[in-house]
Amino acid sequence: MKSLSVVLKGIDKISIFLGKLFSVTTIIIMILQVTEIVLRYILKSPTIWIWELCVYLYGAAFVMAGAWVLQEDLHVRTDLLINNLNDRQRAFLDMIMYPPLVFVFIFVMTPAQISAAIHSFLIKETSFNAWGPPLYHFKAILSFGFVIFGLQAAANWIRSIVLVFKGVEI
Amino acid sequence: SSAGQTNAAPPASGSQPAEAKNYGTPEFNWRFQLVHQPGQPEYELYKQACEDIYKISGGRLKIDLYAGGTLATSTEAFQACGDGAFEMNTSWPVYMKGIEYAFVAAGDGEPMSMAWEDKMVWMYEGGGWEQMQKAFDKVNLHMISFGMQTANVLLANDAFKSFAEMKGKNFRTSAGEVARIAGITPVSLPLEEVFTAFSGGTVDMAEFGTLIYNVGLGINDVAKYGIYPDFWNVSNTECTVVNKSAWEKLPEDLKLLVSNTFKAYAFRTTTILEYQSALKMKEYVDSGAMKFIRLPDEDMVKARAEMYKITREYAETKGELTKETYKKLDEFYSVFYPYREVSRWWGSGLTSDEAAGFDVKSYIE
Amino acid sequence: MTETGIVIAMFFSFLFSLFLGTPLVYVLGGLSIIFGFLFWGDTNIIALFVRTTTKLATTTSYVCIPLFIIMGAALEKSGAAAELFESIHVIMGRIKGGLAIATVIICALMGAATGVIGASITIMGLMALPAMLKCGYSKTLASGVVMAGGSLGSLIPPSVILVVYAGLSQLSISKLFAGGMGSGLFLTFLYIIYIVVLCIIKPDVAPPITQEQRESYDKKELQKMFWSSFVPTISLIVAVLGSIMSGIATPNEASALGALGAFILAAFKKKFNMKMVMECSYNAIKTTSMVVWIILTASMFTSVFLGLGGGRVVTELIMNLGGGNRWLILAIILGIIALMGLFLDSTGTLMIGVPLFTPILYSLGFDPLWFGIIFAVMIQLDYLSPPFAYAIFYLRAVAPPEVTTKDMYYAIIPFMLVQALSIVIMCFFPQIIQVLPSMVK
Ligand code: NA
Ligand code: NA
Repeated sequence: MKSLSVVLKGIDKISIFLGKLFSVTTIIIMILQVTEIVLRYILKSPTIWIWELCVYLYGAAFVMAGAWVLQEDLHVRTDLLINNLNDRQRAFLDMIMYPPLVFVFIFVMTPAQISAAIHSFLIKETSFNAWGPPLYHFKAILSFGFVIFGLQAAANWIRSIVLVFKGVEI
Repeated sequence: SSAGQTNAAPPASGSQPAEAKNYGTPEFNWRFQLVHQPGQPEYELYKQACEDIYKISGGRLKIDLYAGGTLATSTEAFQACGDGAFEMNTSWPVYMKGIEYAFVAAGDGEPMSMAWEDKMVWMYEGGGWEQMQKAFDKVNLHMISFGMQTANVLLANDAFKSFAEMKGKNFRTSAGEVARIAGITPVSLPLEEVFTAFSGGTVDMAEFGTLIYNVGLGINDVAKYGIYPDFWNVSNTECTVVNKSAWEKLPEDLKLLVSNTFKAYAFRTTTILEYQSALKMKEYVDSGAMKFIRLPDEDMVKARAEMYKITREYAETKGELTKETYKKLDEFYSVFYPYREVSRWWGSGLTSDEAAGFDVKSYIE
Repeated sequence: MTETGIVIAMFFSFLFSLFLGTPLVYVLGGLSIIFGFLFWGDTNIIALFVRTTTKLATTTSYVCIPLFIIMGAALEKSGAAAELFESIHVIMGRIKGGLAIATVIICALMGAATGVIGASITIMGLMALPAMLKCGYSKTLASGVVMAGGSLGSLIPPSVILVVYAGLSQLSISKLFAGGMGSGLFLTFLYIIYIVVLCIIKPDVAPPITQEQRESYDKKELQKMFWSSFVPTISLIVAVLGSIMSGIATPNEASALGALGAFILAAFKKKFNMKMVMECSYNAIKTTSMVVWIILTASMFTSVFLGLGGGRVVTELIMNLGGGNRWLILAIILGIIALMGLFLDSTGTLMIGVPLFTPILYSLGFDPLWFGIIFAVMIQLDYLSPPFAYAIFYLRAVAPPEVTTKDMYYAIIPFMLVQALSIVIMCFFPQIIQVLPSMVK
C-alpha cells in the first residue's frame, strides 16, 4: 500500500509540474501579442507568425493542464446527488463510473492521438496558414497531454477503489 | 432587404423537389460534408445532386448532407474524410497545403495564376486533374469533380488604384508572398477577427473570397471599395472527393452515376457564383454602397514575373509532386498562352458599352 | 435502433451519468465514444474525434480567455478590484443593490471588449463576487449577477456567437452586431430593474452601506481609493475596449493589453512580483483548461449527435408539433432551443437550429435579423441553464468555495426568467432589435 501511495503521489507531481510549466505560456502569449501590436501599429512591420504561435501555445497549455485540473478534482460535475453522500459513497460512484466513461474515453482517444501525431510526423505536416510551421511537434504535445491525463485518471480511480475497500485516502 | 435571399440558388432546371417516395433501406448510405451552409448556392446545388442520385439509383445510394463544420471543422474535413470518418467531402484543398503544396500549385488558387476559364482547360485537358488526384492519393481520397471559385475581391476603405498607392498598407491576406511583391504588408488574421479588424481599421485591406461569398462575412458592409483583379488567390478549385475505400465498395454503375451527377452540378456552382457576384455588384453600385476599381495591367505583369521566380523556388523546396506540377504547368502555359493571345475573345479588354454594343453603365470610373 | 431511439438514448444516458456526479468532461467524452462505436457504422469516427482535438487546440477565439483571466486575477491580487468595488460601495452609498448594479454595468463594458463569455464571467467572478460577498450580499444574488452580466458579452459586439450565426444564416455581421447591441443594452437595463425591484422586496440580499460604516471612511482615504483604484481600473477596461475600436489591436491582442495593463497597475500598487505573476497564470490556465476540455468533449458529442441523425429527429419533432399558429411555432422552436441547451454545446445548437428553424420562420413572415438576435438571446439562456451551463463552469473555476454549485443553480433561475421576459417583450417591440441595424449601411 505504501509503495502504491508513492506511485500515485508521483503521478500527482508529474501532473502538477507539467500544468505549472505550461502555465508560463500565458505570459509568453501576452508578451508576444503586445510585441505584435508594437510591430504593426508603431513600427509598421507586422509578423505573420505571432498570432499563429500564440494559438499553438494556448492549445498546448489547455491540453497539458487537463491532468492538473483532474488532480485537483476541478472538472465540473453536478452535485445534486453527491452532496448528500459521504466521501466513501462518492468514491464508490467514481469507481463504478470510471471504466465505462473515463477509461473508454482515455483508452480510445490516447492511442488515436498518438498515431495522428506519428502520421503527422511521417508526412511532415505543416500548417496551412501564411506562416506554415511544422505541426507534428504540436500534435506530439497534444498526445502527450492525453497520456498524462490518462495516468492521472488511473491514479484517481485507484484512489477511489482503495477508499471504498480500505476506507483510507492515499 | 433580407440578405438571406440574394444568395439562394434557383432550383436546377428539370429537377423537382425530392419526393417522399420510400425506397426502403439503401444499399449504401453516405455522409457528405460540404464547406458551405444551407442557403448558399453550392449547398443547394449539391443537395439537388444527392437527391438526383437517390432517385436515379432507385434508392440504392442515399447521401446525407452535412453543412460546413457539422462533423469535422472545415480545415480538417478532407483528412477526416480520408480517415473514413465520413464518405464524402466538398471543400478547398488549400486547407491541405501543409501536407502537399501541389494542391495549391495544381488547383487551389496560387497567386498570379490562371483565369478560371483557362484553369478549367488545365484541369480537364492539361494534366491538372491528374496532379490533383496524385495529391489526393496522399490522403486516401478520390476526386470526383471540381467547381471554380471565380474572381475574388479585395476590400478597402481607400480608393487604391495601383500597387504604388497600396505600398506599406496592411493587407489581411492568406497569400503573403504576392502582397510582399506589391510592397504591401501582409497581415495574417483568422476568420473570426477579420470583420472586427477591418471595420476597426487594424488592417487597411482584406480579402476572403468572391463578392457574393463575402456577403455572409459582412465585410462588404464596412468596405467602401472593391478592388479587382484578384492577384493573391486566383481561381481556386473547390473539390468534391470520396474516401477511397468507400469509393471502391461502390459498383460500377453507381460510380458513374455519382461522378457524372457531381460533375454536372459542379459546373453550375461556377456559373452561379459569377452571375450572383455580378448581380451583387450591380446592387452595390446602384445603391452607392460600394465602388469598384481595377488595378492597371502593368502592376500585374510585374507581379506575375516576380511570382514566377517564387514558384521556381517552390519547385525546389516543396517536394517532388510540386516540382512535377510546375513542369506540367510550364508545358501547359507554353502551349496554351500563345494560342490564347491570338484567339482571346474579341471583347476582352473592351468597355462594357463596347462589348455589349449598346449603352451599358460601366462601374469603372 | 431508429434515429429517434438513438437521440432519446443519448439524452437520457447524458442526464443519468451527470446525475451520478461523474465529471461532465467524461460523461460527454465517454458517451460520444460509446454511441459513436455502437451506431456510426464503423470505428472510423475516432478520426473525427482526433480532428476535434486539433480544432479546439487551434481555435483562435479562445486565446484571449487565459489573458482576460490573468487581467482579472492581477486586478484582484493587486487589491485594485477590492478597492474599486469598495469605492463604488461607498459612492453608491445608500442605494440598495448598488454593487450589483455596478457589476452589471462593468460586465456590459467588458462585453464590448470581448467576444466570448468566459472572459467577462471569470474577470467579474474574481473581482466583483468576493467584493459583493464581503459587503454582505447574498451568495445567490452576487453569483447570479456575475453569470448573467458576464454572459452579456455574447450579445454585445464583438460576439463570436453572432459571427458564427452570420456565417450559418448569410446575414450581415454588421447588422447582427447592431441588433446584438440593442438587445444587449436592453437586457442590461432589465437586469438593473430586476436588482432594484429585488432589493426593494428583500432588502437583506443587498444591504446598503450603514451610516457608521460610511462615516468610518474619512474623505481623504476615499479620494485616494477613488484615484488609485476606481479611475485606473475603469480606465483599463475602457482602454482595452478602445484599442479594438480604434484599430490598434485585434480582439485577441486587446486581451494581452488588458493583462499587461493589470500587471502595470499592480506594480504601481507595489504588489507586482514573480509569485503573483505565476499565481495569475496558474489560475488562468486551470480555468481555461477545465472549460476547453468540456468544449472538446461537447464538440465530440455534438458531432455524434448530428451524424447519427439528431438534426433530422428535431426537424420531425417541429413538423409534428407545428400546427398553424406562427407564434405557437415560434414558441415551440424556442422551447426546442432551450431543450438542446440542456445537453448540447452552443455551437451544436446553432448548427442544428439555424438551417432548421430559419426557413420555417422566414416563411411565416418573421424578420430574419430579428430572429437571429432572438436566437442569440436563447443561446445566452443556454449558457445559463443547468446542467450544461458554461456560465456556471467558468464561475465555478474562480468563485470562492463557500459559493457552492447548488447556490449557482438557484442564483441563475431569476435571471433566466428575466431573459425569457426580454424575449416576450422583444416579440411585442421588435424595434428594440431592429432600430440600430436599420441605421447600418
Ligand atoms: Na462581446
Ligand atoms: Na445550458
